[in-house]
Amino acid sequence: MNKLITPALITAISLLLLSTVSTATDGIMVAEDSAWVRATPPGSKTTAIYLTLMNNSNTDIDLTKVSVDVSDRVELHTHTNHDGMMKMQEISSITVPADGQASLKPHGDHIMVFNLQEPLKAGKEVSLELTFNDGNTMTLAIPVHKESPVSGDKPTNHDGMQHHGEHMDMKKNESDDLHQHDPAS
Amino acid sequence: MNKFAIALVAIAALGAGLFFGNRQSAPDLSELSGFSFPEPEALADVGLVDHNNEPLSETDFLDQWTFIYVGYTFCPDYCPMTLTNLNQMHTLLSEEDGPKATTLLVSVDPERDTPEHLKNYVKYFNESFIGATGTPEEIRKFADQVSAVYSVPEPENRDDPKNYLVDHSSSVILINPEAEVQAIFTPPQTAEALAKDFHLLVAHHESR
Repeated sequence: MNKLITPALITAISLLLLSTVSTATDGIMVAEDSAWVRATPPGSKTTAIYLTLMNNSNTDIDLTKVSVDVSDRVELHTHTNHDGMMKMQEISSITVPADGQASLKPHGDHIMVFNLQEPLKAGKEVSLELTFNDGNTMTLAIPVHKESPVSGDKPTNHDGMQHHGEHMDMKKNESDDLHQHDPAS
Repeated sequence: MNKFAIALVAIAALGAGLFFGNRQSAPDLSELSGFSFPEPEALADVGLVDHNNEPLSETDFLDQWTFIYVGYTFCPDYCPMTLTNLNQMHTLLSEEDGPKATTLLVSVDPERDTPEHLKNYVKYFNESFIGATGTPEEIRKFADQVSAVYSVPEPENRDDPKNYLVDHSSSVILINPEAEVQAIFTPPQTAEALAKDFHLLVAHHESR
């Protein structure tokens, strides 16, 4: 009897979970365990915040503003390669493509924090507010880590065009995420 | 007599074959993820100061392998990420009985990165790391020798006098025990790839 019920149950749970991932909210979600902020070395007043934003709506959504509880100056930054030099530049927004993701990670787009009021120690949390161009805001608490906690979060080679090329990889990552939620696997 | 001469020639040829055969067994550097300079140039006229405010010259690079990163401590992403990777690489290297290797951070931002500040900064990543800086002229002279490029904004071009960013190349450079610029690793660098390259380069260096 159990043998009959189990596959059906797994399928039901899978469908439920899949539907939770894809249609829970119409808009932006932060990929599970993707958000972290870099702990600061002694005397350092700057840091970077990394996370992966997933857009499950059918329109592009822009991240336009970020604020944190540990600093009064936060900027969205990208890296470009100018004659072999990595140039960090402020950008006005980061687009999360429709049905896609934007991955903010080391050596790529990131949230830059200046003027830290005090050093960030690993194990602490930072409160973050994200504002999007559709008028929505999102508040979350993210952990402070000394090293990237995201498995496989190797820095990407930045050639100045990576922001666009990366989205294709993200779709792949997204399907990996879905697999991870599948209890049958 | 002739037979003896032929035998001698044969033995000599065999010896030469073995000798050159051994020479050719040096590791294949085409497997490197970084780039090895075929004719490494020696560091010269280095006039930096280390994080204890002691002079750092080219002779300080002798008899050990040195990984160099050229950056600055205000850097929020590339520098801490790379120094973290280098620390992980040293952890991998320390698990085996290899040659002595160390990491040196050369700050191109002497205005903000004092030796004392550099010392606290590098030791956060690894107790054995060394920081160095110098006058803008000395830093430029050194950076040129290790193929590092950077651009510190002039005071009039800074939005904020203290919160300015410095553009810089993010390569890791490896100096061999003869104080020569042996190899360069462009980003992205991972601890595993750096450790693997280091093994190949050390083996190659010992076979030359």
